[in-house]
Amino acid sequence: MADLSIEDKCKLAAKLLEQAPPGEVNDVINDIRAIINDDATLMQHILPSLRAYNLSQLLVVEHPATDGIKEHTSLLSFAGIVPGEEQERFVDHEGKRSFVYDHINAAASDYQAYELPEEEEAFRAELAKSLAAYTKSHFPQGFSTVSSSQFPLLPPEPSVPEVVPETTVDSASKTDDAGAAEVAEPPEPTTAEEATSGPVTDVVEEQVGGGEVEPLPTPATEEVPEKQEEVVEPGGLEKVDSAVVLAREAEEKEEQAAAKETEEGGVEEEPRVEEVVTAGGEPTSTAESETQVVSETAPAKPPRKQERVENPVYTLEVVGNRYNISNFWTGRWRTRWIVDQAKGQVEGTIYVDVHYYEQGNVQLATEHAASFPCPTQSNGNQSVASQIVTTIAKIETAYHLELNDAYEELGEKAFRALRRALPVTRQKMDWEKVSGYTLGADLTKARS
Amino acid sequence: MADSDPTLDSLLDLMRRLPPTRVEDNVNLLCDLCPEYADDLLGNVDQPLKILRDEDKGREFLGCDYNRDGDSFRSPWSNTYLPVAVPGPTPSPKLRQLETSLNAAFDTYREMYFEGGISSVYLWDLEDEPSGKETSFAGVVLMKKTLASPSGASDSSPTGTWDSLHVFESHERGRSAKYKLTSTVMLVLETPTASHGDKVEGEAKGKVTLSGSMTRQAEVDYPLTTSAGHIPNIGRLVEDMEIKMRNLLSSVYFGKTKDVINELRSQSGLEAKSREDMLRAELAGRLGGRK
Repeated sequence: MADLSIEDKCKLAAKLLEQAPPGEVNDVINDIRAIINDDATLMQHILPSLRAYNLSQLLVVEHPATDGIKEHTSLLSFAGIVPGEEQERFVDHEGKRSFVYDHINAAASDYQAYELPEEEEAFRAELAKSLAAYTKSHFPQGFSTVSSSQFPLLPPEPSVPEVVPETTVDSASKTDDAGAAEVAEPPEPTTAEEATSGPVTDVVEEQVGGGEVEPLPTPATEEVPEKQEEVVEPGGLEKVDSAVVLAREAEEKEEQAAAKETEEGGVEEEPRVEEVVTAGGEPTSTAESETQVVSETAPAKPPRKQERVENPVYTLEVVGNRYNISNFWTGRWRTRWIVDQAKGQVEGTIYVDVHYYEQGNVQLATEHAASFPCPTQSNGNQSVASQIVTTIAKIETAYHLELNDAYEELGEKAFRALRRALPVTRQKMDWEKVSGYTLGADLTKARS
Repeated sequence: MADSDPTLDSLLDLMRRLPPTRVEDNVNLLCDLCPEYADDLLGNVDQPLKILRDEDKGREFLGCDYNRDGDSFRSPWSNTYLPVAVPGPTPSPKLRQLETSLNAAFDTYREMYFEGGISSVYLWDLEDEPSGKETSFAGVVLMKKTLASPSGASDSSPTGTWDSLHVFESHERGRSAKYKLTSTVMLVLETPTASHGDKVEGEAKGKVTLSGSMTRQAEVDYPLTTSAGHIPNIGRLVEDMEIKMRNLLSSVYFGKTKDVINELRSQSGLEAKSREDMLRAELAGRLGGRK
């Protein structure tokens, strides 16, 4: 057998992470890294697979509080990609912003204002409100989002800075942005950086393993991941500072002061800086060297024409995660419903994945597609949006019940048909006699 | 096994996480990625048993890593490697005799418990202790049953596959023998779903797949007077273990994973549930007060 090239090996290995069970993508990545033993080459191929995994598994992204916006979360998904952007951006509806996501470092950055046209936003918000209520009621660790395929309104020029008014925050997020841009683009910078930065493995270990790419969003596990993330790595923070200083040079003395404050523990006023550190593990280690150029050029956006789609679709997504590491199980319930008013249909898919791994590897994987006609007018005092979510709730509950029936079916019928608990005689074999028997052979002959 | 090789540990850890339904593809891929670990992978990761046919004897038999030589597998019925005859290892004549008897005995076992399917038993000699006081051999008992959906009704019936491997070692000492057993059962079950909410029009269809493998070990000492005594000893050992594992699989597959679903999503709604809890607490409080 001809040996594969290292590039081919990395490509194939990275694909494996898309099979990762709920909450275990970091474990899978670390296994792959140990197997390939060439992080520099491997990480370039991890990015597209990890992005695909995060988007299809509805990764929960935490957004720390900034002025006027409470701490909240949003989901990554294919439907949540802002249309018409050159660089991939995701919508954070609650914060009315879009952001760039760095999958490798698990960090959101470069927040910009995002606003849907009024009509679309009204319907979307109503769906989102109903869906959130449904999610809250049925998923102990549930998150939901509603996306519209409509193009956002072009931001009037001066409104941009208003969203991100603090200079420090601004620069911190730019530093971060550069980091993200770097990874999103062809990955040479990452490699170059890793190659030059001394103990390569350690750096990447922290980025990938310590970054809690997956567990990050889930307070789901009663005990585990959150606390670890709160641990601010002093080294990381210093690097943020130094990057900031380097980037902005003398220009912003105030900012340096602010950043220092952060370092000394005045974290609250500098939420984004904190995020850079906590969420990303050590994002700046990749960002450090070649960020400056990018961050200087980043904010300037070419003027664009307002685009519109005629019949935007709305995508309702829910994810419920539970990771109970100490009891050897993880699970995820995902649903995606697409409201297409032009087509008059609401089409959805429900996925449930469970991994149980105490002395074994047992997995449940389900996929279920359903659809229903889209309501067209309010019914009594129930709006269209509310009717849609009510029907979704009904279908999902019916499916949940059916899953219980499926267990019955599998347990009673299939499992028994595969192997009896005891022979028809209701007694175990008489092995002392069996050596004399040729019963099995006779029965087999009789059968055929 | 001296498993302190971190690469091998990672390969095996990975296989414990990736979907059991794709074990064959994934093992092949990992063998391509790490050709130097191919033997370790094939020897440590249990894969679904291969069904082969012994044309001369007109019977099917099972293939696994223990009766494999290159791409050929030794048939328990003819003791030859198939489909391409290769001069692979075969048991000593004495052990082959025991192997033949065990195949007959487990054929009966298979019919009584599986009411179909295929079984095979393979034995191989282990090096005897230099003292000459102990004779040792090892073997594997294989069972496979497939539940195909009846043709025509393909859309509504569950399907499934049971693969069990019982790998054992036997060490004779005087009038008893010590048996060490490692058993793995691979079980895949699949059933379609079709529900949509009450009074909701439209189509719905889906599939539920439960798949996986579990491994358990046991060690026993049984009395042994003649060589034929191995048959009831190994028979009981495997039978007891398979009964235990069937119960275990039943509780994990149908109990545990179902519980997790209910942890992910509350059927009645969390508010309703907390109301119930409050009522229950209130009731308990009143009953307690009455005493």
